[in-house]
Amino acid sequence: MAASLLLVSISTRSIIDLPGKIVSGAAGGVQRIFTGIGGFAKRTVFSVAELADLRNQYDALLEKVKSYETIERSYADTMAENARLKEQLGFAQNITTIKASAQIIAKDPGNIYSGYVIDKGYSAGVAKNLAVVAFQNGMEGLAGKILEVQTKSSIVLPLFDQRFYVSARLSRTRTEGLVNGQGNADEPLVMNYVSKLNAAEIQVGDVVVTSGLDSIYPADLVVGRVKEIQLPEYSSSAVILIEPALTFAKLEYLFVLQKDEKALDAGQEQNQGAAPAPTAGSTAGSAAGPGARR
Amino acid sequence: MIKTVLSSTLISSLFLIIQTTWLKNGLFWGVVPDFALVVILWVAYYNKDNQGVFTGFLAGIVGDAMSSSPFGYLSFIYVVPAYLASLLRRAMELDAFFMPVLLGFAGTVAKGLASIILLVIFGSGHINAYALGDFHFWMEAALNGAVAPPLFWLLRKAKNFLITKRIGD
Repeated sequence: MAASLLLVSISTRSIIDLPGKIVSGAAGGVQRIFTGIGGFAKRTVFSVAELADLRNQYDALLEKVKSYETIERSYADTMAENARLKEQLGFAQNITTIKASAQIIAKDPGNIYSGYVIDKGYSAGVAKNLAVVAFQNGMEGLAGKILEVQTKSSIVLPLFDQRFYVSARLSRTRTEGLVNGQGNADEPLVMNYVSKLNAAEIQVGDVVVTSGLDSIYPADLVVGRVKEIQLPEYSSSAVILIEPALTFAKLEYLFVLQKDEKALDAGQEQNQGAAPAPTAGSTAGSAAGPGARR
Repeated sequence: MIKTVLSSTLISSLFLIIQTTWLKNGLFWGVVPDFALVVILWVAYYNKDNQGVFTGFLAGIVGDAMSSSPFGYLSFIYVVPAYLASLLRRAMELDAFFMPVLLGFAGTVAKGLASIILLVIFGSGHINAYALGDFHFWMEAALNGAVAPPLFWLLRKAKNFLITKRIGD
């Protein structure tokens, strides 16, 4: 019991975590094997029924592709125009790179903590404290951040964990606050430190995005939507309850993001320069290549 | 003794890995039964010399490595019920159904209380703990009670590896 307490004491103060890293690395490998076995068994059982569905889906998708071809042409034009305008503004602060796309291979063993284990680690360029997003229903949302990294696996601290904090703002009113999880995916997130004066402008359904004021999360990642506004009498701040943008029970794949430092530096230099004459393919344009996003 | 501790740690770890992978989405309302805890309770009940406590400690270390919890957290919350189960050895006899259910349920409650002890010592900034008023906690306790009888039955089949025999036993 004393040894356990000592370990908790050490690890919560981040003095040394070597034994954890050794066992965690080995456990990550075994978890990958178990996920692989489980996935293989599941795929084998359901593959026959899926074939018939796939034929129908294929026909429907062919029709869709035709309409998307038209949309794609106008989208490419808009993207090119967007890149040109960003160059002219020296606006590169929000450019981030997708460092790795990863599959969730395991979750926390118990019901108290809620970390996700993903199948990418140091070897894929993942590092501690990088932001993690996911795409659901055609929308991108903040999923959490990298908590621990091993060679081929990492642990993600999800948005709803009690230890998760992110600086956020309301997309419409630009009011800022600090968003914190409540430990359960079914419970709303809490946004604190919002002045009651500003709370009058906030409406249920408003979109909450990251502010980009901390060093971890890029700006404008969708956190969720306002679910409820509470105005406690004892405080000068309002408490905003937020419905997360992602349904965590359905998450399968995650994307690890990194702020693009080169683009950021180039943008700052351009802003400081006396004559920021844009050149083709510079700054934002070059950073917004494959794997880059705004 | 070392053989017993290592083999029971191995089985507990195997169940921990199953909990994190095949059962990652939970069985009922997203709640996963803690098979590893049930194994630890069984080992603690049937073995002397705190072998169950050692098993709880080592299995907890393995669990911590797979978890976002602080290192040592799971080892502590497994050690406490393991110690209590080892005390029960003198006080009660295990039957095939009712006592295993009770042991699985009570072990989960002890685990929950241990998590609250850690919360009090280290604070909510570092530690998440079970909320005793939360429905999910009692669901886990019920699930652990429900899986205990069949799991105990299976463990009895492997008792040569999991129980240290002594002269006079």
